[in-house]
Amino acid sequence: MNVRRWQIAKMCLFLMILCIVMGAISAVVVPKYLVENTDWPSTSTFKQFYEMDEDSIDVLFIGSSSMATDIMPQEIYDEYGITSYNLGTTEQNLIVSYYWLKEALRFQKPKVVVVDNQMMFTFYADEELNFKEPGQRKDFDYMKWSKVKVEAVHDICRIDKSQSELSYYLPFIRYHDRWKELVKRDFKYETTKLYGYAPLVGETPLEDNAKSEPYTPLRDDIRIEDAAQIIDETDVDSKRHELMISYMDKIISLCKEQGISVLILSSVSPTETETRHVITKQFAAGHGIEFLDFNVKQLYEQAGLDYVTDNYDRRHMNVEGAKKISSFMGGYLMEHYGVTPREHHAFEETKGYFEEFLSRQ
Amino acid sequence: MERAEIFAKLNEVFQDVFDDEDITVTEETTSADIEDWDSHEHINLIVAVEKCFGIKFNMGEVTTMKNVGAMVDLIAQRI
Amino acid sequence: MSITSFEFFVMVALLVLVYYALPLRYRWVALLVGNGIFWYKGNSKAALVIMLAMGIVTYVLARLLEEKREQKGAKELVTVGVTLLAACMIVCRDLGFFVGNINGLCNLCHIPFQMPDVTIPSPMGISYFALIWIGYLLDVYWGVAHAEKNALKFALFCGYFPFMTSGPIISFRDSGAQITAGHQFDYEQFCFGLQRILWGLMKKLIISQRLAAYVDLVYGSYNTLVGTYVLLAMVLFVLQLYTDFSGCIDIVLGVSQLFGITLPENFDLPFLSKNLSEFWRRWHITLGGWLRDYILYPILKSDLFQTIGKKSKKKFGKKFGKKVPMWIGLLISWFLIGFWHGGGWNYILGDGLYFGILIILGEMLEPFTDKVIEKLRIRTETFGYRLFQYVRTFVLFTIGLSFFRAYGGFMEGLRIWKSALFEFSPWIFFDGSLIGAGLDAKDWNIVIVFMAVLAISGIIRYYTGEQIRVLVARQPIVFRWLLYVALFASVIVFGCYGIGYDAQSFIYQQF
Repeated sequence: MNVRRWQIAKMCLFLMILCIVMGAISAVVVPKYLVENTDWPSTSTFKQFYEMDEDSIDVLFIGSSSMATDIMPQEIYDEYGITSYNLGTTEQNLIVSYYWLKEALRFQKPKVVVVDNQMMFTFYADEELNFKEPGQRKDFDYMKWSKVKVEAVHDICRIDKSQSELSYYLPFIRYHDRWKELVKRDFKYETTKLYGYAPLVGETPLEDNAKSEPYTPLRDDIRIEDAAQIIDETDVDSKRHELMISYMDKIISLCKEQGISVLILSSVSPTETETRHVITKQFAAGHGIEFLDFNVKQLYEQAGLDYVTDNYDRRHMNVEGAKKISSFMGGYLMEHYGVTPREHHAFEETKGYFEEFLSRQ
Repeated sequence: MERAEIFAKLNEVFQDVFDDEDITVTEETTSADIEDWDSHEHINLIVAVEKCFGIKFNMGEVTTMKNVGAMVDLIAQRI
Repeated sequence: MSITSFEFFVMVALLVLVYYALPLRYRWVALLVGNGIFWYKGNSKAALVIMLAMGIVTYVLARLLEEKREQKGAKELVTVGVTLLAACMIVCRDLGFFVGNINGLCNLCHIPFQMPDVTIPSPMGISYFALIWIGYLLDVYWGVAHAEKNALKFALFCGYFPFMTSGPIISFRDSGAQITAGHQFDYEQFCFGLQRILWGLMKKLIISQRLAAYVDLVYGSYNTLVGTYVLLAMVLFVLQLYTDFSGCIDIVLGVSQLFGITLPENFDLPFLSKNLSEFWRRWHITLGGWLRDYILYPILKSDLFQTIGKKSKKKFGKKFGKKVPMWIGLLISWFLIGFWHGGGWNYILGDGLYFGILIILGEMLEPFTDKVIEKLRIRTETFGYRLFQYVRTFVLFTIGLSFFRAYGGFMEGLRIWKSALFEFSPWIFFDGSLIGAGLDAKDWNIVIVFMAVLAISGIIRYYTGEQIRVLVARQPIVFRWLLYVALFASVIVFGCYGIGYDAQSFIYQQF
């Protein structure tokens, strides 16, 4: 009997060692998108989010790359004292946005949630998730494990049958081939350089300015009543994506349940057509929520935007544009959504870093 | 027939099939002990033994015979 | 269900738990459940029906044979059974081959008849279980085994899931009792089983899949990648097949060991063979054994062949004459081996008759080659000579297998040889041409490193006569565990599985 117990103990111990090895290998091979290796540091965005104090964020911004570049929470805090976080990341489809919102609500009690409308429209018709799987993994791998993530993984794999749930629980299954390109950063990585909190507060600041034609904003009087005439069915880029829209519905329902105000935002970009505008407007009206479209002339001018100087790559805003939009949003939220300023040491501490970071770009 | 007699007669067969006058088989002799006794020669040997003793082995016995002793057992049962 | 899939191992793990939780008498039921799951996942409904029908016929025939054994009618029963099983195997697997050849012949003779190209749903593992069941019927007929009365235990043995993907071709008389009996938990055997599975995964996922990338590339474009590229692909295909096949066997035998069941080996250091006869006693051992026991011996013992033997002894003298029936028997066997591998002339010739003819030639010329060795004073006991023999055997095997790999048929095999001999281009090893040919530099390194590990373990086994896992088991626990963990980590990092990582697709394409 003693021998048998010793054998079982050995087997359990060995199994534990294997689990540790699997965990260690997973941690090393998962790709890291940090400030040092990319313009779009989604890893930093999410990891730094977890470092914020609970109940310290009053406005949450979620959505895809436009949101990631447009909103500078530090700017909003500096100007208005409103605390916010930008959870937008590249290729963030609305399923991922929904689950990140759910996850965020475990730690934060925002008063307002702002979503962008990019993902409501079809990008890749042959992809179940409207975007490619690598992009979705990028935005999702760094969510901590909890009931939310388990539910999310199951949901995603149910929709996209090419993915395996197991590859989420054991990331080495998905990424073990990265052994060929491992660098120091994979073994030791810091998402926060100097401070305990999130120096970038989720922002993706982009400095460049692409040469472009002058921008003609959309007309102010696009009305829902004229939708039938406005909507161009042949425009493949402005096609409704029903699955994504269903998750937008879920986002709005979730916010309403928790008594959180929600509004939709659209950043300055030639991709915003009248069709897209009116579809989003219809959708927002259907939910009784607001839709702020910076492509529309009035808002474009009110925010003081100048596409030529403010665009990074003709589709996203650079730092200049982001400052303007953020500044506008801060004021708007304060005035129309009753978000009150408050002092929070995390944002105080990251002030200096942010300035320095921008000056280094 | 006595076992010893069977062995004597069997020995002759072995010597004839493998063309070697010096062969002496015992209970434990197997194919490993005789150089030319490979799977090719096995059938020739079996047929020669059958002819010599006027018996027939069935295929199952041919393939499961472990050593000469087992062969002798089978022969003894038949005659 | 692939035996390298996570799903498979989860099933095995659960079966292991159930197996050892059950009382000894009922442990076999757990394995039967495993069979059921495996059959269900690996077969379409139609194929499942075919397999079950074949199984019922075999079960019934075996029981009838048991009763009737020495009596009249037994011979007819067994003939029907064996013919039926063989026919099922051929029809399910190779109908296309026959249809193709018949149609080709009709075209040649201007006969206006074309058979329709129909595919029959083929049960998984039919190549293996058909042979095993034929062997079972014959064993019962010859009285070396008793027919299994318990229908469920029969189903357990005859559909034993580990052998369904790649064998080994087991026999009821040797393995039947083991499989249907319950076994006590043996810690050492259990651990060896796990280690063997890991070793098999290493061979398959790290080595075989990588070699396949290069081989597939070259065999798919042998008009552009000519000369030494093709020769290298032929050599690497042999290694790919070896690591794939023996890796599968390792997994299968390892899984069986977890349940205390020892199946027969299928490989025994085949590349250390002095000649092709020996090679085929070390490569796919159970197939050779099956053919010998159930085809070759019965043929040689038959009256027809005995008559042939007598006649040829009269004509060619005793020594030479007695070999003639054997050689005819061998040709028949080798034809069948080739055909069993695939219904295609590239298999029949390249993986069958080619070896048969070479082996027969070798025997025919033996007195001549012996004289040459004597005259040239070659010392055959030296390492140098043995190395020559190993290399010669390997080269001859590679040539045969190059046709095996020509999936486009025998003619394609010839075209590939034309390409291979087109030019002699050894510079590809030095000028970086191979980097990127299906494998990048890092992948080549990995393949070379692990093939070296395999080679070294083979050499150690050759000189010590013991399995590596037995030698490792004697080492101190920390060292042992380090090796096991290293092997495990290697498989999960370097193994070729999963979606694969393409760095480009992770970079945000700003559309």
